[in-house]
Amino acid sequence: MTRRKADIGKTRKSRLPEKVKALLLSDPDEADFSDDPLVRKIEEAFEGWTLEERRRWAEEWREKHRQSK
Amino acid sequence: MTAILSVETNFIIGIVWEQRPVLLRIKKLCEQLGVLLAVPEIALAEARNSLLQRIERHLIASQQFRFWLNDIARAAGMREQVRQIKRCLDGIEAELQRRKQLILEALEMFAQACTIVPLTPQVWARAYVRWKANMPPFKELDCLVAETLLEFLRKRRVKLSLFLTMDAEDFDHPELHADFKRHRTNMLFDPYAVIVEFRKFYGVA
Repeated sequence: MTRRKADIGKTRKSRLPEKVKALLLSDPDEADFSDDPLVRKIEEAFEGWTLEERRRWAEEWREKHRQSK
Repeated sequence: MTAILSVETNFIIGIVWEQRPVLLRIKKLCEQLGVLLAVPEIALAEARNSLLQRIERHLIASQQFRFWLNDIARAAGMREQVRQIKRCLDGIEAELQRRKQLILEALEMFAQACTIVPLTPQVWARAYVRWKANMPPFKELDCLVAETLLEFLRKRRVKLSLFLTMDAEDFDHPELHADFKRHRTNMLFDPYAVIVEFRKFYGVA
């Protein structure tokens, strides 16, 4: 696409809403998902099992997958 | 639709079992940005089986326990005590069944936010040939995932197409990179790299 002469030198601007832009730029590891319905459902299903335990299960699954053919 | 993010079983396991914030963030970004999140049907089935197996394991243990209890009730004449223990087991089993149902509901919720790519007989045949010919990603299930996605991407024309897999051991091979490149899809192994690509594509880098 050709750029208008007046636009040359300008940075490409995003047309995303500010809320989405902030989400895209924020640190993904510091997000709070407590209001996410999927997360709430997952936490209800695994209540009583710690996250560490569940992460160990995931590792076990990966190991099993690694050994599969 | 201007962008597609294809994922495999590790993404589902990472969300449902591990609740990895970065994967939850990617899912949310896909919803907010209107990125199509493509999940192979076989990957969803694989994740569902592994999640349910974990609960099944406890239910099987409970059944075995009942068998031993019957033996104790008969041989040691402790019918009333055994009946009490069995009542507790009834409660445990009912709770495990409830958890199973909740896991299925969680997976259904996840599936509703994605586009589930079906496993067709043609895809299955191509995956079988790939697997038999010992081509990457080598494993039968991974071949099914790869062929399902390649077939899906073949028909799609989008400006940004990414395939996120956390299984570099099986998928990081030049032949597979080339296969996905043919369908204008970039294969990535790090979820953070997906966010970086989104930032660049949407001009907020």
